[in-house]
Amino acid sequence: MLGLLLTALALAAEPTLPTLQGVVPAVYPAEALQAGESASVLLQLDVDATGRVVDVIVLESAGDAFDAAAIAALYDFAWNPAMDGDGNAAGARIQYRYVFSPDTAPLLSTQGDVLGPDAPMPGITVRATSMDGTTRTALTDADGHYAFAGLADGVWTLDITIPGYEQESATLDIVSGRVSEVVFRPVVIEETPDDADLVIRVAAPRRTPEITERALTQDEIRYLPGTGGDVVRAIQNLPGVARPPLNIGQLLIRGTSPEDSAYYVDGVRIPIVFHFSGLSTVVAGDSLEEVVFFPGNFGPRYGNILGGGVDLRFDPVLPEETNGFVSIDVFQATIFHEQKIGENTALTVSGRRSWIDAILNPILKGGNSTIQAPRYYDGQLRLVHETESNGTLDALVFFSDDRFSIIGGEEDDPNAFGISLATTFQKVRLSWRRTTADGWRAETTLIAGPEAETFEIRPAGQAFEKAFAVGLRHEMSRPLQGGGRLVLGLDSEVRRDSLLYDISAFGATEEVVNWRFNPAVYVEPTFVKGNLRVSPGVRFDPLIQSDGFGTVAVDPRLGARYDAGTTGLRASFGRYSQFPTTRQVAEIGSQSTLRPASSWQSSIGINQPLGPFFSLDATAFYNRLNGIVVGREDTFRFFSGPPPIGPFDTAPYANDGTGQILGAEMQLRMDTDSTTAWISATVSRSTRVNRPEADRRLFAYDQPIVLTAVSTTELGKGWRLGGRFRYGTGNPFTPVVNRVYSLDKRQFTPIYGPVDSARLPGFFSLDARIDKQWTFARWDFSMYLDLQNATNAQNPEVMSWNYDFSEETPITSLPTIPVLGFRADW
Amino acid sequence: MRILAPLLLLTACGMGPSDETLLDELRVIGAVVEPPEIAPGESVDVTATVVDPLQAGMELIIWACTPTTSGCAEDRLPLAERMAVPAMTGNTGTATLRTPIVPLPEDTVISGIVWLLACEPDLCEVIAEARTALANDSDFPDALRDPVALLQSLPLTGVSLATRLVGLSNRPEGERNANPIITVTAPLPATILAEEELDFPLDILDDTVTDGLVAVGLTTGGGFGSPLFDVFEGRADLVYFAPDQSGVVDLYVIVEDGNGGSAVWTGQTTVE
Repeated sequence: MLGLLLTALALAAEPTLPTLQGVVPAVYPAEALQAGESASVLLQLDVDATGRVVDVIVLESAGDAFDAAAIAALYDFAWNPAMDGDGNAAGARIQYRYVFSPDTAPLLSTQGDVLGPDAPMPGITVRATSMDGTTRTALTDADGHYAFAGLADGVWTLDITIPGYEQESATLDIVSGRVSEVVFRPVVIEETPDDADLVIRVAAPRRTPEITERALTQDEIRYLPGTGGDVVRAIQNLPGVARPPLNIGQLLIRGTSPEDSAYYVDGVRIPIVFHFSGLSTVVAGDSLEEVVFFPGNFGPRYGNILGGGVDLRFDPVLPEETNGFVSIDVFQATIFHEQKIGENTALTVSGRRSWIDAILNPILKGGNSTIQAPRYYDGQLRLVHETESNGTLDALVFFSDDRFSIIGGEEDDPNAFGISLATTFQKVRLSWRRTTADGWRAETTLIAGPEAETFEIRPAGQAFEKAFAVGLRHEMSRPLQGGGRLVLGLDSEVRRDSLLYDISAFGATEEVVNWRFNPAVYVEPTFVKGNLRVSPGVRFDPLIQSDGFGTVAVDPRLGARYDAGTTGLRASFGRYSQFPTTRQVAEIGSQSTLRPASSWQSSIGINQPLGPFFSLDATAFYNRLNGIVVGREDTFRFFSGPPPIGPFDTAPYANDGTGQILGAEMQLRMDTDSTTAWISATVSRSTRVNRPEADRRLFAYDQPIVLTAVSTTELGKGWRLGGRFRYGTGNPFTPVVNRVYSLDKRQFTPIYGPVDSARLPGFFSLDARIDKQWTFARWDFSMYLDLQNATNAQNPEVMSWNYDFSEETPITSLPTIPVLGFRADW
Repeated sequence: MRILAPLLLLTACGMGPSDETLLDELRVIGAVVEPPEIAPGESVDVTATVVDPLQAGMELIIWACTPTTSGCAEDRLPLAERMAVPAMTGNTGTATLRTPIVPLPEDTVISGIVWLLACEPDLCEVIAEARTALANDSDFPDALRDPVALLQSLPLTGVSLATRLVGLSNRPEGERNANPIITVTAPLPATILAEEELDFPLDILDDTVTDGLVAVGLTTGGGFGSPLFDVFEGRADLVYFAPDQSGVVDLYVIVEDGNGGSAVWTGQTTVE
């Protein structure tokens, strides 16, 4: 032992060079990586007595891009300082060769720009700090661009400090495989805040992204032709989504029906996401941080759906300053205002109301009828507060109301014939997001409130589906060693359903009241080894009803992603369940033997950059559905689409249905400084066997080919031009092969051929949009013309027949509609 | 607003002659059952009115089949008493059919169903099959037991299938439903001008049914103002629009009481 000690002392007395503590991966130059180029850069470093790199110069260059990346990384290398002969730390100059190899290129973690009031800001140091204090820096290049690669999963804070400018920072959650963007627009201190164009946009996900999910940026959404700038309507342009008949606004995802998909606010389910005819989303898009669309093969976070979903995620980041807008177009008016209250609190008020009734009612009103044209409104009041512990408390009240009616007589006449419809909800949402000292990120969201869908036929006959629902989601996540992540969650709902179908033509039923309790739990760890990321998960979904009915679903799911250089490969497999509805169970109540329908979903996909401007994302999928609840098609129900036509399956509800969905979807994107464009294509086939003895047939929403091409380009001086082309195979329908004439009723009754054995002609539409924006000192004004169905294509939407069924007379889509809109932002 | 879109389709309306009132293909437009309500097991006369605007010729078969879980309620009846292939006189054909023998409580009225199938010649093999069966007094053709399936195998044009209800009850004769009687109060003029609008009022006498009577106007040229005209206090005010071309047109008015009772009026005029 003494000998060892003496040796150590003797060695300590020898001068030593700096020794490396930790290597920081350089950001691989994107173009070089795409080309598969390797390189090495020889650098000279000055390491001071604290082990900090104080100067770097290039001795052997590999080109500007490689040199800059290596220099940036070397400044972040951690060194043990050199020792002089007395054993004291000392400065030293050494050489280091940094080798770039495509095979070991780190994943890009986050990137962005630092943009000054007039131009990009080069040479600015952007600092990234993790929860454990690890610090990384990056310098902006000549275009003001910076990037970080290889950041460990977890919460990081980015900040910039520029003399003469206010300090800016942003917090984001780094997840392997996802590139977050943070754009800094620092404000000159001398300027008044009102004059500053200050926006910090954090597009980083706060949760583990699904293996297959797609997102659109606010700019892409706002200027997308044919969507009116609406966030969720924009999703209809993505692969995997078929166009719904009559443009009813529902999403037909990967060959499933609208009822098989669901909509969420911060992970908690809401009854509808679109207003009437899908003109707009029921919440203000400007409040949203991201709109997550998952077309299938999603993780265990979501359940009770066989299709896909849309999760509207509110932005937890406080606005940097008070802002808002007013917009008006031919369909609706919207107001949005976000008021900063002190440093840590913001209040948001927004509302929207449609104009359609104001325009149409005077035209439609006449004779002995009163027609209340479709009208909708919604509103949101939100208070967000950042806590001292870097958490967020978020309270939101939001509501939505859609109505439509035709009354054959005076409105207050109880005997007047009439039809009216309404869909409403009023919700309160409380959300608490925080990161604990031991690294757990927790998010708790509670949404409670009534929702109702009502249908009335005057003078006698009404149907409704009402509910008071309380949804609670609590999710906790933390990084795992090696870059992985663990997610644990509770996704529960308690609801009181009240159903009534008192429509004599369909056979009246008594009102049914039932309580449903669905306390689902899930776990999803993500393991990372090298470039491979694997996420096995499971969701345990029990359902208990007050009438004694109960069932349970256990859904294991597995997702994997492998990043080979610039190529991303992914694969998923899992089970998905969907409970029978309260209505279906109510037929025989606690004696019901119905069980959840299930779907085994599998998919493989690839994403690949193609040069500096293009990228390709493609997915192939196969879903096998079992135990689909079928039957009682002759009874009244609320349809998500056009009502089905006969012949009807009138047998009791049973888990007799099976189905197969096979398809592939692709998106080819082009992104340049001025242009965003993409082509989405989906090829699929969806078939069903509704009863064991029945033949396999096309599913009612089967659309073999869906093609969308979108482009929007900045022309300069505030002008922007966009176009959209859409083609979709027509939906199947059941043909009428003959008819019977009832002499007593004086009407024809159709005789149908095989179910869904005919198909409507394809849908074709071309939309064009032009925007012009004027920027003033304190506000912006913009106007746009969105020419929807510019070629006035007469697209059959739903098959209909003349009075004696001798001629097919399809209902066609809307004609050319020029939508002129104005918007003022402050 | 999930079911809104389909309801928007209900708001269509039209003006002028109704397309539904123009007869442009072979069609069974009326069947008067005499009497329209009868005791089970007794016989009725069924007089069918079939219009053949294309003059392609026609065959008619009339049969009784009131569906039960095991077939037709008339299955025990002799073939000739439940099915007929009548010869046509002009555009009418008559058959005498017996109603099924079913036990009925007093004051209860149920409906038997009579089917009428008109086809262009040689289009419906089942009519030839029925003729052969009647000649040989053999079995009731199976194809006629399921008229819906039969129609699925027949073409859409050149074929017309209609149903008529026959009231079955043990009520006293005086309480049973009776057919209405149509009286033309203003005779149809022998000639009218092209595109002329003609008011055509009718008196409708029905001793047993007062509510729910409707008058249906049909024609081989031009059109009536509406597919259905309500009968109010024994009167129906039909409106007829003459075609824009000259020629002879047939007009038909059928009155229905909704319970199997009906009457058919036929007229003809020349458009100048």
